[in-house]
Parts: sequence; C-alpha cells; structure tokens
Amino acid sequence: MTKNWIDELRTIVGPRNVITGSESLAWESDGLSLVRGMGQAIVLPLDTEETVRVMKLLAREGVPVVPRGAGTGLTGGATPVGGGVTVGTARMREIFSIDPVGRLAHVQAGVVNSDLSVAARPHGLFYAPDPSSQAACTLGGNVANNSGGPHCFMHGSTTRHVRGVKLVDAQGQVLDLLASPADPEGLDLVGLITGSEGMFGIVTEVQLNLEPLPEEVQTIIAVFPSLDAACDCVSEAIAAHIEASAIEILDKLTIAAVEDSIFAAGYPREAEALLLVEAEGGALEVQETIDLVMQLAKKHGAMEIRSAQDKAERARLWAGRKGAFGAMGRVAPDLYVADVVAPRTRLREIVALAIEIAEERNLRLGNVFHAGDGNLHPNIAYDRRDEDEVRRVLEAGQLIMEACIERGGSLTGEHGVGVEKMTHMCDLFDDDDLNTMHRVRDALDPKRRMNPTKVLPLRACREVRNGGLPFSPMGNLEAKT
Amino acid sequence: MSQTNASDRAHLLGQGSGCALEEVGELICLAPKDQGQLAEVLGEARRRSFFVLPIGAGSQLAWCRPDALDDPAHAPIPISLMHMAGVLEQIPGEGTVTAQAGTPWRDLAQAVEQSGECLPADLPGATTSTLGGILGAGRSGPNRLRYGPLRHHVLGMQVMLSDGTLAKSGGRLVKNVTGFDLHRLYTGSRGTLAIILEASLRLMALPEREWSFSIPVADCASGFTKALEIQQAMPRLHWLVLTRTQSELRLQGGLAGRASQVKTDQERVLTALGGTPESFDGQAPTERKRLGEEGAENRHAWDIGSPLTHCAELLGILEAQLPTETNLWVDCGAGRILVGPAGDAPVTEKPSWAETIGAEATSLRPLCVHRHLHDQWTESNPTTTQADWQQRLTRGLDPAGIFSMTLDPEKAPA
Repeated sequence: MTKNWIDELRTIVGPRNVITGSESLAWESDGLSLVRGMGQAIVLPLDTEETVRVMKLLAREGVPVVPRGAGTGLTGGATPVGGGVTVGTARMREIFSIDPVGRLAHVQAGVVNSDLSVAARPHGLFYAPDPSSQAACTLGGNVANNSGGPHCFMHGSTTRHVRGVKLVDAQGQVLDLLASPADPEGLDLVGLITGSEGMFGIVTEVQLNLEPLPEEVQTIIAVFPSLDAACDCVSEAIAAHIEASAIEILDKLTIAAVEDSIFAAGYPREAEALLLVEAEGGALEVQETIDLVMQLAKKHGAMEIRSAQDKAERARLWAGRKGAFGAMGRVAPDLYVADVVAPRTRLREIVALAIEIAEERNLRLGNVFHAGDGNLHPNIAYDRRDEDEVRRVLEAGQLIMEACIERGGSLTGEHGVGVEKMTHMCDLFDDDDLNTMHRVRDALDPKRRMNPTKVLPLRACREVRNGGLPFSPMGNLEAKT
Repeated sequence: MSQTNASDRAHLLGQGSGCALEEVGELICLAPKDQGQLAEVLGEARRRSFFVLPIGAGSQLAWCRPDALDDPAHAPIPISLMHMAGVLEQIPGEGTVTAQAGTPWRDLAQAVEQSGECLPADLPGATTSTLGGILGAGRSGPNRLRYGPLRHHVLGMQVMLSDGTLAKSGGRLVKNVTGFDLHRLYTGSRGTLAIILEASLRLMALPEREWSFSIPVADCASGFTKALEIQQAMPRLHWLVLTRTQSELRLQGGLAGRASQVKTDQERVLTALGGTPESFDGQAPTERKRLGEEGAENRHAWDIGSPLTHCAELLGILEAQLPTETNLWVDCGAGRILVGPAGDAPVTEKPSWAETIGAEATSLRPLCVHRHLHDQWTESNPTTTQADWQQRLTRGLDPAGIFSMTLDPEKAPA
C-alpha cells in the first residue's frame, strides 16, 4: 500500500494529514453507512495551494480522487467506492471576509454551515440554506450537493446563494470564479459546478450571498389527526401562494423519537402529524401568512395550533425538527434516509405509498419532510446487522423512488445522487440525456478520475440494464476497490 | 462559398432541409416547424460547415445582427423557433410552468397571471421576445433585487445539440438536484452550446399591491451610494434602478407584495429617501414597466458588471468619460451598468465611444467585467482556466462548431 507518491503527499500536506491503513476506517463511508469503500489514502490539504500540489501529483499518478467535506452526505457520494484518494477539506476552516455592503461572504470550503451565520449575525446578515446537518456539514459539501434545508422553501437551495467558487480541477488547475459580478462573464460555470457532486474538481473556496436578518419571524405548529390531513393542508396552502419561509411535516413515529431524545421540543405526542410553519419578513405580511396557515389548518381538522411565544421556544421547535434524524437513533441503530421529490399536488398520495411500501415489508418508517417543496424524507429505522432487514430496507427505498418518479416526482431534492441513486438515473433520464452529461464531464475530466462511479452510470442506461455496474447498491455493498 | 451572405446560405439550408424561411424583422431566418425539421437544419449546417444562431425573436440582436457583421461571409444563419411555441404544462398548485422555447414572453406572462402567479423576471420590454431567447441571452428583470436572477428559477430544459441529440436536464419540480444542472449552463450561453427547445420555470405569487418612487440625484456615484442606503433601510425593495435619460439622473425603485406591508414599507422608504420624491401608487405598475422598457438591452451598447462595493467608483469614472447625452441604466441590486446612446430606439450601429468604454472597463478588471451585448462571450477576457473550461465545454457539446462562431475563427466557412 505504501507507495512513493503517498510519501510525496506527506511532504506536501505534512505527515499527520495523510491518513492510511486502519486509521482511515472513519472515512470508509459517509452518512449512507450501508455503502463502504477503502481508498489508498485520505489527504487533508490546508488551502488551495496545497490542493493544487496534491491534485497535480494525483494526476501524474493517474489516481482517482474523491472529494469530501464533513462526510455528512447521505448517498455515498463521499465514499471511495472506486478506490483512489479521498481529498478532504477538514482543515480549510477560515472565514476570509464578510462584506456587509455587497452581502457576501468569502470562506474556505471546510467552514461549517452554521458557523457562517454566526459570523454574519453581527452584520445583521445570515446564510439561508440550513440543512438539518448544518452544525456539522461544510459549505463546500453544500456546494457539491446543492444542499437544501427547511428554509429553502423561501430562500431556495444552495445554488441560489453561491456567487463564486475557487475550484482545483482534476489536473490541478485553479478555476478562480471569485469576485464575480452578479451575472457570470460567459458561461455560468458556478451554476454548473454547484450540485455536480465533486465530479469536476474540488471546491476550495466559496463566495456566498448573505441575507438580511428578518425583521419579524413567527413560528407555529399545528397538530393533525392524520398525515393525510396535514399533507392536504400543505397542498392547499401552496395552491393559495402562501409565502412562508418553511413548511415542514413530522409524523407520529418521528415525534415520539424526538420527544424521547435530547432534542425534545414539546411536540404533542398525541399528534398523528405535526405541521411546522415559519414565516419571516415584515410584521404585517408575516401575520397575514400565519393567519392564512391557521385558517387552512383548522379547515383540514387541526386539533391544536400553537405559536412560539419567544425566540427560545422557536429555537426549541427547530431543534426538534433538525434533530429528528439523530433522534431516530432511539428507534433503531441505523437509519436509511430517503430523499425524493413529489409533485406538490400529490403529496398525500406519495406519502401514503411510502407508508404502504414500508408496512408491507414490516419496516419502521418515520416521515419528516420539507412539505412545502414536496421534498419527502421517508426514514427507515433498521439494524444493519440484520441482513434480511437491510435487504428489505433497500428494496423499500428503491420502490419509493420508483413510485415517486412514476407520479411525476424526482430522485433527489437535496441529498444528491451519489452511489445510492445512480442506477435510478435511468428512470428519469434516457441515454441521450445521460450521454450529454457525460460529454460535459469528459470535456472537463477526460480521464474520469474525479469521484468515479458516482452519479452517472458509466455507459448510460445500457450498463444498468446489462447489470454491468462495478458494484450493486442492491446487493453486495462492499465496493470492489 | 465565401462570397455568399447569410441570406443566400439560409436559402441553401432551407432547400437542403425542407425548412421554410421566414422574416424576423429584417432577417431571413430558418423557421423549423418541429424538432425533426430542426434536426434536419442542423444536419445540413454541419454538412456545409455553416454557422447557425438561434435568435428567438431577434429583439436583442441590435448592432450585432448577423446581417450587420463586418464580414457577411462569416455571419451565422439565424434560426427562429417561432413555430415551436406554446405552454406545455401549468398545473394549478405546483407553482411552475413549462413552455416551448418559441413562446413569446408576453404570452407566457399572461398565461400564468390567470392563476394568480407571475414569472420570476419582470421584462416589460420583452413584448416580442421568446422564452428561449430570454434564457439564451441570460436576461433578468429589475425585480431580481427581490427574486434573484432569472437563471435561479430555471428548473429544467430540453435542448437540441448540434448533432441533433435531444437532451434534457433538471425537471419540472421546484426542488430537484438530480444530475448535472446543464440548464444553468445553457442559460446565458447565447446559443453557443445548444438550441433550447423547452424550459420549466418557477412562478411567484402575483403581488397584491405595488408602489414606486422616483427622485433626482446629482451624479451617478452619489446616486448609487444613496441606493445602497435605501437598500439597507428597506430590505424588501423589489427593484431599484439608477437611470440617466435626456441627461437627467434619477433613482427609481419600488415595492410589491401584500397590500398592508407595501403601504407600511413605503413610508419607511420615503423617510430614508428624504427630499421630495415622486410617489406612485395606482400608476406604480406603469412606472415599473416604463423603467423596464428603458432598460431593454437592445437600447444599450455596453453591459458592465461590478461588485456593489466598487460600483459607485466605477460609475464616477464612466460618468467622467461618457458624453453627457448617453443613457445609463444601472440595476443597483446587481451592480449591472448598461450604457447606450441617446434616444429610445434600438441601437443598430456600434457607437463611436463603445470601444473606449470597453477598454476602460477592461482596464479596471477585476473591479468590473464587461460584455458586448448581443455578442458572444468569448470576446471578453476571462481568466485562462475559465476560458479553457468554456472552450472545452463548447467543443464537447458542439464538436462541429456550428454554434460557436467566435470560438475558432479558423472554422469559418472557407
């Protein structure tokens, strides 16, 4: 395993920042713990300059590269299933500047999402995308996955907040798109890079738009006697053009898990479903939005509607929501977090289907999702030591995806494709679509060394249909390295 | 072949592909009736090594029209998708619309208004512009201050590549990260990568009420500084524009949204403005539309982008160099400066001062960047890696080079 080029990596970034052997076990998977892979090394450069030297060396050696932020992704995107070297941004933690006039932040890619909002707050600003993992996930990882979060209902996903990036490509060349004006000069390369799941290079620095802190924020919860009723309430609110900042739903199993955990938020345990709605902006528009939600919630049979009385209560309500994935650890040791998008007019139907699919396989399903965007997260609690349960979990995950796509939905709303959903790309796109994506990839990384065996089946759909993938997400999940 | 002009070559392509020719303004265009015929046109263009240019309605071409180029032998043959128009899907309650590229923007706006929604870009000057043309040109309206640029609201696309391949990316849902966002790449690519066939957009709630103001300012730099102050005082402004027409400088802006909120916010704006601004209630939409028309890009010759922190300084430099009768239209939220000759007619000739201003803007890099409007982006001066990426992408998607006339002049028809 020890090769001269690994010693050269140590020279570039320092011996402590090249991890090999048993010490690299912590990097063998990301949040999709079912998929594991061992590469040749993990390298942690400090900045763009070190990343350039690392990438030039790996290009010289023809070694595949797997970019990695905090490893909180949920689709195996940061797992070295195709071998190679994982290049992490864990040491790139500097916030270079916050420009209150231009409302821009310039940060290194390894800065943690929530740290940016903390730093921006004294300037009356915040960073809007707020994935549930925001206390751990990095901004570079958010760029790679075009991450979302509850408040993306109003503010949009990461791509709407990335003004510029600095990226080191597969050959070690620096693409500097920082200090850009509001509109790109030429092609929108920033838009292309955002959400490309590390397949064009490693983002080392990011320039992000910041938003003014809202003048008024109101948060309410509405308690429903059924999940169907909560879904119908949301669909009607969307049709009425409601301008809330977040619209979330939690089901009974999730509520119980949260209330039994350190994230206990005071959610009523008797609720079959809980609608969590926040509105922000001017005081009058916020009040009108909240009034409209309350009116619709009553119409759809809400048993109780409660407003957060102060900041502390609001923070508790959100801590419960954002801690829901972690809280599910009380139900079972492992959690499969699905991420699909439903047409917003068909929320009830697709949520019901997910429940049915899980029940048929005797699985414990918790629903917590961004209802306003139609972005569902059916979460299946399981024990990975139980092989049969793992099989049933994966089967259910695939069926939920297929059901969603059949009804006009999409594969992923914010977690990305990674390894998990690669084969299902052919359910949504045809050969020509995928080959066009390959043409773009090949133009920028002709040797396909950046994050191989992710997102795109190598030879589009033909490979999937012929069973020619290098590994099977449905079968043996140990990658062939 | 080098002696033929674009019109002659359009006739040749029309004969070879069976595609009808139509007049768009003064241009003779190929106007395919469907995707099959468009593929025939592109195939014929590849065989003959003719450049082609998707032009939408031709409303933004102005002095960069193919028939106005210095070397007509190298002028691209315009393709219009006027016959490939119409709304494909708008489901009440989804908040999205999908339409064919040839759909006039005005028709699209009217279609979505019926469901209490509006398009995410306010382009009142785009009376004839098409969806495909607007996306291809990367346009945004003044209300980007509130909603962000139009490209942020493009949810998916179907395009045709130069080899006739049909390719889609994204989808029709408001949230979706499946696959590469190639629709972001096509938006603003000015027809250099593919021909946009259809696109899906996110819709916004139609505002209940609008209000706008207009106030004279002494000079560009102080006007822009004032604009930043107003934005600090009122983060909910929908648009904010600094204009110079007929040598008069004005700062103009507006609010839109819930009626009660707009009414309250307008008092705060008036207080922050000081002086005696003109205030518009019932006429606010008319004022906004007038301002939008003044900002129509075909009235301008230069498009300069600058970070907000440098915009006041840059405006000061430009103001000192430009003839006083030139028009300015500055989107104060985006740091975008449009410079045009006097009058309100489309610019049909390159103004004498255009090169000077372009050189001035270039000399200030990275303080600002500039673009020829209506022209292809490769004439600008991006960093080496950026230019390299752009060329690789262009060659990757269009290896025949029929969309990218400025990419490699050597590829021009001999």
